[in-house]
Amino acid sequence: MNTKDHNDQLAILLEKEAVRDVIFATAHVLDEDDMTGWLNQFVGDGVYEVTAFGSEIKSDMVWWRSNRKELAKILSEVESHIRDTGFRRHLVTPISITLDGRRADVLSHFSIIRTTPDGNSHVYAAGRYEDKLINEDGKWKYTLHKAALDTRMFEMFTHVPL
Amino acid sequence: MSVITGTERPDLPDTHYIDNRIFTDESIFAREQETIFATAWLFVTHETEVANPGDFRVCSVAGKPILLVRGEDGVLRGFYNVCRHRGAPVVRDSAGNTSGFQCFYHLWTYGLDGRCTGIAKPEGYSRVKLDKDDYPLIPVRVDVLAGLVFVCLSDETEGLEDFIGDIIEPVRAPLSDSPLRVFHYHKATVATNWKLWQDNNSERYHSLMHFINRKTMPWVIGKSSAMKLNIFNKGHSGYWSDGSATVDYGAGDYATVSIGTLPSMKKNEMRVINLFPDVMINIRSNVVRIDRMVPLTPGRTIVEWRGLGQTTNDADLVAEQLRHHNMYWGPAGRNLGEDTIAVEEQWAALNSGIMRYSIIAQEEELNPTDDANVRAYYQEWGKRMGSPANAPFSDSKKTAAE
Repeated sequence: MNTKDHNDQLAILLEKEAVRDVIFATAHVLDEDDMTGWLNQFVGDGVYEVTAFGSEIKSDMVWWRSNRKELAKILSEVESHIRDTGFRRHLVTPISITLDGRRADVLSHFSIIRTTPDGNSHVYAAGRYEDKLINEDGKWKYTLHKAALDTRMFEMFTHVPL
Repeated sequence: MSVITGTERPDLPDTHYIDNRIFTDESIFAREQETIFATAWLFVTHETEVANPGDFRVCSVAGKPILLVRGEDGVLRGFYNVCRHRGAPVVRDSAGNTSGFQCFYHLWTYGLDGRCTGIAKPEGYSRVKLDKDDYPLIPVRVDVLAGLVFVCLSDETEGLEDFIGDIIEPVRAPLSDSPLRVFHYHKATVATNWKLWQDNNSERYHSLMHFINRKTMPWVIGKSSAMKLNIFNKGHSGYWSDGSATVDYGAGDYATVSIGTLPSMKKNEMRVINLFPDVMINIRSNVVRIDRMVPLTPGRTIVEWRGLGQTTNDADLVAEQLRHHNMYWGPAGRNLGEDTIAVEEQWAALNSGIMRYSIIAQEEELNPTDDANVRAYYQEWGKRMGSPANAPFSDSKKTAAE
């Protein structure tokens, strides 16, 4: 492998690392309840989506789909709602990152641990993120951040993103 | 000076308070299963979920496993999901399509009409002359009203139309006059008593808790309302208006509902009916929410939520149905999460036994925040249980708890 190939490979690895950082940062801001930080991971017309397959109705379901403007409205009102008193910690494992110029498709597995105020922890949700990102002015941001759920029975609902 | 113990009976009419042990007591829960869930017509699914020959769906009613299946003749039938051989479930999937059923355990087979079509190693039964025709699946009563599929485990109960009565009228057209699809289904095991969820669906003053409803439902806060409670026989009730009581989405700076309004509904109009014992049908303009429940224990209840809208290929309408439904009623909806938190924490506090009685004494000339519908519900509950909700242990023959 010549120097140019090395440099090309290195550039790809660095870009993938930058994408991976976004995936991990997304989990972190949610754990910190930093809704502004989470929203800033999206491009201006970015979309957040939660989906599940309903085996009972034999159909794919969309449980939440909002663009950034709508997300900003919802998240600005989070503190006005009655909320779960537990907190959540995201465990995310990027499985594949496919680069295509300024665009990236990323598949990650996630599980979310919920801990109640008295310290009881358990798996709250599991699924995979199926994300599309774009490099905008040197920063990778979501055009689509999609949580495809395995879990369909939640013990405590939330209008905070997963 | 009198001592406040938490067990004093309120100085209110008997109909205006209830004994909280109806939410926590094991013997009452068991009696409810026998006298209410095993005798009432219970909504179990929407007919579009079993639309085609061979479509089947399983569910639980009064703790019994039920199989619904559409036959080749187009008839929807119900059976106990129990093999006549050794009692294993005949169907293990929640839904699907099939040409017949085979018990996974010992391989007896059944037709869509419930007939036993095959038994394993039949020669072994020749001496005792076992005839498979004598062992069909055990049938249960099934009927459909406005697209809603109901099951009743009792042969003594009146027909479905008589059981439901005229309460169906305000929702009949939206549910019947255009083809609907179930676009949403989810369920959760909620740590509460099943009646507390029905209460939450019935009384409107908890809307004061909802951040969004305080903004968008003027009849919740106002002293008068175009929307009124309507009380029917058998514990059924609802609240609706002549169309003038709409959800004021704009007041909360939320997008309004613009397309796909269901038949007879006006833009942004809301109608709700609550069917005794466990169903709510809530219609807002272009979407329908239906709740049903499967009580597990006094403090654990599976709640099922469905979302329905007009069948359409219009991508804009589909998107709007989803946005409208999910914003309030989806698992990540703004209202549903608050409701589940409320009823779970309410039940935990009631189960502490500190406060013996709850008050259902609000009287507001049948405004939605009146308790008249809740009182009517518990009147029916008491009638079926053989003792009133404010003195549930008053029949000493039924329990020795008091």
